[in-house]
Parts: sequence; structure tokens; C-alpha cells
Amino acid sequence: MSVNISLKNISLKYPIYNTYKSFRSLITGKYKKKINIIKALKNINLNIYKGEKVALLGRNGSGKTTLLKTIGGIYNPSEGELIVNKKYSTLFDIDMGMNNEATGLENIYLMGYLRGLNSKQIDEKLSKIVEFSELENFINIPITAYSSGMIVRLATAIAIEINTDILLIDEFFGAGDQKFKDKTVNVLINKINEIETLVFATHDLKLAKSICNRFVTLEDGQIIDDTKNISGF
Amino acid sequence: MEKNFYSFTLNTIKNHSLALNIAKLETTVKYRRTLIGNFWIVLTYLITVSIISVIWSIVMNVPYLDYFAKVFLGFTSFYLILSFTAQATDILFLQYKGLLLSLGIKLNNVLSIYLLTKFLEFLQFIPMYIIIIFLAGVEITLTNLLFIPGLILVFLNGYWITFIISISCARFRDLGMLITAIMSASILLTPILWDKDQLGKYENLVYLNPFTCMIESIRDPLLGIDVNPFIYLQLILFLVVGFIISDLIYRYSRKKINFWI
Repeated sequence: MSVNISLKNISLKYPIYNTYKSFRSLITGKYKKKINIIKALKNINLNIYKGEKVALLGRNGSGKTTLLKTIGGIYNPSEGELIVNKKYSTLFDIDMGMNNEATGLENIYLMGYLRGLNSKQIDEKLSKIVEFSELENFINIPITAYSSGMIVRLATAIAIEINTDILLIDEFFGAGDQKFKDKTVNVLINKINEIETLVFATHDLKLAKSICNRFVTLEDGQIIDDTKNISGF
Repeated sequence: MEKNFYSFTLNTIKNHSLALNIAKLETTVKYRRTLIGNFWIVLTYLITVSIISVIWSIVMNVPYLDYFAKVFLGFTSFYLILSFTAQATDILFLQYKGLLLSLGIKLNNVLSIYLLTKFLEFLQFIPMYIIIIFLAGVEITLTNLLFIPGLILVFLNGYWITFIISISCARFRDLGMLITAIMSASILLTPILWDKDQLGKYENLVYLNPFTCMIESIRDPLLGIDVNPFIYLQLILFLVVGFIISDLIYRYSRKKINFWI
């Protein structure tokens, strides 16, 4: 089986630039420049193969999102070797990049461009995106008039229609009504079957079980469990 | 991730269509809810310069239209310089933070989105330039066309200036305020409202201010004034030195930038 993502001894030191001292301390010489280093990932070894749908589990601050962002090229590891062999797409903050003054339709183009599509490719997907979002009657009005649920629908519809080999998802099913959430999960499950590899950071074990076939649990920046079957925390 | 600033720049050029599409969309949307749309970009400067010119043309003892034309071209060229400097100080850690850290958009794409948006905004001035040089009675010659290479050289310099300023200000958050203060003074230190020959024997000192070359390379050809070749030489020299410095900064910071944001 071919490896799509390979992490060898990956560690990540996250510098926090903190200059919280007062102006008075600066002029009295008591100021000290302070950079806190947090070891966000510690010696991670992980091979993710073609066909694997991996859930990253763990408490807040355990390193799930940092690991996902490291795989996604947003953070560079301080140590170790990271290889991502295929084209990937990220779903970290679902409505990020949208323009509130632009219409739903324009935002489809905007998000499409940001995710590397050209106008022709977006044109081809347009009707599917609009249909999936169920926003046909609102697609030509600025999204500033949308409810948060409508924005999530639009953003999800765009994200789901982008084809990719590897999909990196940070939990995003926060808003939107239950009916749309169920529909999204169902479509996502179908969509995920079409992609080669999924890495999904989540707290929702039930959702993870319905989508994933491998479960990696992190704690304090380290992998503490890596299994094909999981019964609960 | 690109290993040096040159491959970083080459990839910026390669992905220009992504940036151009987004820049076009953002420029269209920005002024949508106003009555006159994008024309506000031009109208703002028309209003400011028209008012300033009433008094300053008398102070400088120059016919109103001549003074207005010169100041309008100077101010609007300086608008481009401000885009590379004072306006670029917070783009990475405010304006485009989400694109970099949540969507994983590459830094070179983010910079080109920003720069092309500013360039498209600047292009709105071009039709007004034609009207103004016609009203000011500037003789139309081939010299006028020299503003195109001038604009290209300014924009290319703007690329590395924006890179250095946006990166440095993301790391050192005090720097943005300092740059804004310096740029406010630079408007008055650059020969826009006044003529360099008013400095008499100190005339050439204006070229110690790098923005003078940038302004003159765009403004002077449009006013039918022959441009000193030294200006192009200076802009090319800036470009070479700027790229070398940018390369050093890029090599040092390329793995750290997203942590600084």
C-alpha cells in the first residue's frame, strides 16, 4: 500500500512572541524581551496510507490542529521529515476567505480561486454547489445578509465540490441546522470515499466512527494511541 | 516551500491568474454599495488636490491647472508608494492572516493578491491622467509613454518593498507605527507639492529620498518633462539591491513567518 503522508520524528516548537511588559518597564530597563517556546508536537511518527481515513482525537490543546496544520504546510516542523505525496486540500476554518460584501455567487468564485480552481472549473461545478447549498433564492445577494447557518451551507457546498487526493479537515460542523448537518455528513461520507486519504481532527467520536477507519489519539503533542478500532475515550 | 526569494518570485508570477481573479473581484466588491463605485478611488484624490491647489498654486505662483496636474499626478503616484509601505504594515497579521493560517494560502499568493488589488485600483487613475494632461495643455509626444517603464519599475520595486515591510512588521509590531509616521513625513519631503529647483544648490539632495525617483518616473513623462536617465538607473539599482536583501530575509524567515503572524 502506498504512503500518502509520512511523518518521521516530527517535532514542532511553537514560539509565542510575548512583549507584555509596560512602557515604564522599557524605559526603566526592567523590560525583557520574552519568547515562550511551546513544544506543540513531540517526535511524531506516522505513515498514512492510500485509502485511510484517519481521525485525530484528543482533548483541546493536545496538538490535533497543529499536527493537521503541519501536514498542510502551514507550520514548518522544527525537527524531522514530512513528506506529502499527493495534492491536498484543507478545511480548517470553513468560511475563512469569504467576502461579506460579495454575493453568494461571487463567494463561490472567490473560494474556488483560493482553492486553486480557474473560472472554467468553477463554472462546471457552479450548479452543483448552488443546489447543494439550497440557497438558490439567495445566491445573488451579499452574504452579509445571510445567517451563520446559510454561510456554513455555502462554504460547505464549495468545500465539498473541490476534488482533491488528500483532504485535511479540522472539525467544522459547528453551525447550520441539523437537517443540513446530516445531509453534509452523508455527502461528506460519499465524497470521502472518492478521495484517497482523509485526516480529520475532531472531538466527535460518533462522527469520527462514521467517517474514519483509523483513530490516532494525541495528548500533550504526542501520539498515545493508534488503532483501527475504537470504543470510546 | 521555495528555498530562495527568486523561486518565491517565479511562483508568484506562475500563479498570477489566481491573484488577478481575486484582486478583480475584491476591487469590484469594495465600492459596490456606493453610488459611484470604483470612481471614488479617483474622486477622493480629485477633491483633495483641487482644494489644496487653490491656495498652493497662489503660494507657488503657478497657474492653477498646471499646479493641479502636477500635484494630482504626484499624489496619485505616491498612493502607489503608500500601498507598498504604510498600508502594507499589517496585511499579514490582520488582513490576510486567515488566508495564511486557515486556508493555507501561500505567502507569495497572498502578496500578489494584495499588490494586484492595489495595482488595479491605481489603474483607475489612468483615464483621469489623460483628461488632466489634456486640460493642462501638455504637448503629447512619445515622452509621455515613458511613464509605462517608470510604472513597471516602481511596481517591481514595490514588490520587494511590500515583502520586506509586511514580513518585518509581522515580526516587530512596533515597526508599523514607525513606518506610518515616516511615510506621513515623506509626502512633504518628496517634491510633490513643491519643485526640487526651489532647493537651489541643494536640488540633488532630493534624490537621497528614494521616493523622488519613483514619483518622477511616473509623473514627469506624463507632464512632458524629459526624465533624467539617472532615475531609471537608480530604480534598477534599488531593484537589484532590494531583491538581494529580500533574498537574505526570505532565507532567514521562510520557516518562521507563519509563527510571527
